[in-house]
Amino acid sequence: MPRAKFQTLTEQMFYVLLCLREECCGMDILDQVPAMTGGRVSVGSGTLYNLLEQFCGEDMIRETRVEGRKRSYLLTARGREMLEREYGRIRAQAEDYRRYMGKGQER
Amino acid sequence: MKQTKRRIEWFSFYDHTGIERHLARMAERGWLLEKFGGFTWHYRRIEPKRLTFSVSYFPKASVFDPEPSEEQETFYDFCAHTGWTLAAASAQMQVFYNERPDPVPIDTDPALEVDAVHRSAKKSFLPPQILLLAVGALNFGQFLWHLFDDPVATLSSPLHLFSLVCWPVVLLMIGTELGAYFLWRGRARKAAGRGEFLATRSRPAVQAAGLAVVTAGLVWCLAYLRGWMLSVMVVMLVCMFGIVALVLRLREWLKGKKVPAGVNRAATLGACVALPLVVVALVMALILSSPGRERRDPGELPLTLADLTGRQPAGGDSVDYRDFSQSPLLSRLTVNQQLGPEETGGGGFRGINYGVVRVKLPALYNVCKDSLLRQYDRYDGYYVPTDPAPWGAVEAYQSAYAGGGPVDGYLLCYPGRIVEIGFDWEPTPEQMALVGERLGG
Repeated sequence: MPRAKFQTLTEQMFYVLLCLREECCGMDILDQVPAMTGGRVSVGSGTLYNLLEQFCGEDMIRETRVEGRKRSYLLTARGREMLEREYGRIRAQAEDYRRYMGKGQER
Repeated sequence: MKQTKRRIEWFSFYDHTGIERHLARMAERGWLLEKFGGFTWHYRRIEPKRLTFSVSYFPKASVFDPEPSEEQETFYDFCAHTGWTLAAASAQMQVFYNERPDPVPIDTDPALEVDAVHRSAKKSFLPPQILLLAVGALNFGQFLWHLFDDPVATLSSPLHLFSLVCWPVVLLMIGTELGAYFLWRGRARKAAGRGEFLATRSRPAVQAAGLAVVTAGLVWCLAYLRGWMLSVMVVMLVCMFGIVALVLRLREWLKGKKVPAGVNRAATLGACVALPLVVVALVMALILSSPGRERRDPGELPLTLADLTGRQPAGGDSVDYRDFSQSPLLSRLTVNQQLGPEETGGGGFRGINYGVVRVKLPALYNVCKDSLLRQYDRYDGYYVPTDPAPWGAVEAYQSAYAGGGPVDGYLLCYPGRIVEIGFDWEPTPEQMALVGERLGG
C-alpha cells in the first residue's frame, strides 16, 4: 500500500526538513543531506523539487527569500512538529529494539 | 560524415526505463538526443561515450510553453547542481544526461516519481489515447452495424473492409498501451510502498505490428479502389498527414514567436478543428462534382436495354450508369439504364436496373442471399419464390408488396452469383433466358 501522505516521513523527507531548521536553499539541501548522513542518504534533484513544493503546499516549510531563481526556505511550526513526531517514532523504535534485542546486540 | 540523425522511436510515454537505456546505447554509438516529441527524434553526433540518462516528468510543463517556466528553470538548476544536463524536453518529459560515473538519480523517491508520471500522463498521454479509443470503438461499432444491416454493400466495399481490419487493430494498440500503463502504475505504487522503483516496459513490437497491419490494409484498400473513390481517398490521406504536419508546425512556430501557452493552445486546437472541416468541405465538393456513378458506354455493360428490346438509346434522354465495387470477398455491379420518351415513342420512361453480386467466398453466399431477400422488409415488400427455369437459375424470387401483389423485380440465384433485376415491363421468356445467359454465368 502507498504511504499515506506525510503520516510518517521517509528518510529523505526527514533529512530535508532537518536541513530546513535553518534557512537554506534547494542546492544547499542537495549538498547537506549526504554530508549529514556520511553519504548514506542522498536526495535526487527531482525528488527535492517535488518535496519542497509539497512541503510548501502543506505549510510545513515557508519561502523566506527569493534571489533570482534561488529560493530559500525555513521550517514552520507545523513542519517542526512533524519532524519531532517522526523523531519520537524513530526513538520509540530504537527503544523497542533495545528492549527486545538487548544491549549486547547494539552497535 | 553525417552530424545529425532522425529516427522513429516506439517508446510509450511512461517508459522512462526503456528510453534511458536506449539513449545510453545511442550515446555509446556517438549519438546524443537533441529534440523529440514530433514524428521523429533528432540526434546529433558526439564523441562516443558512456552517459547516464534520466527521464524525469515535470507535470506543470506544457507542450505549448514558449520557453521553460521559472519553476522549470529552478528544477533544471537543481539537476545541473548534481551533474545532470538537459538533453531535450517535450511537454512534461525532460531528458537529462550525466557524465559522472555514478550520479545521484534525479528521482530518489519512487512514490513521488509514480505521482509525477501520472500527473503528466493525465495532461498529455491519457486524454488523446482515451479519445482515440472512443472514436475507434464508435467506428468499429458503426461498421458492425453496417455489416449486419447490409452485408453485401459492406463486404464488397474495400473501405468498409479496411475498417474491419483497421479499427480492431487500433483498438488493440490503444488498449494494450492503456492497459500496460495502468498495470505498471498499479504495480509501481505497490513497489513504492515498499520503497522500491519499478522498471517500465514498452511494447514496440505491438505498436510496430499494429501500424504495419493498418498500413498494409490501407495499401490493399487503395489497390481495390477505382475512379473517383480512389481520388477521394488519396485526397483524404494527403490532407490527414498534411493537417498533422501543419498543426505541429503551427504550434512550434507560435512557440518560436514566444506566444503565451494559452494563445498557442487555443490557436492549435482551433486549427485541429478548422482544418479537418476544410478537408471535409473539400472532399464533399469533390464528391458532389464527380459523377458518383460512372456513365458508361452501354457496350461495356453485360446486359443492355438494346439487348432486351432491340431499341438503341440515342443519348439525350437515356440515362446509363454503372457502379462497380469489389473486394477479395465480393464484387457488386449495379446498372441502371432508361430510355426517354423520344426513344419509347412517347410512351414515357422505360428501363431496367440490375445488380450482380459475385460471391468469391462460398461461405458468404447464403449470408448475401438472405440479406438481399430481406431488403424490401422496411418497405413492406417481400420476395416470393417463382419458377427459376426460365431464368436458367437455381432459385428465383419475385418481389411483391403487401396488398400490392407481385411486381417485375426478381432475385435470381446462380452458382457463385446472385442477380437482382427490375423491369418497367413484364419480361418475356426470351428476355428471361437472355438475362440468365448474360448475368447468370
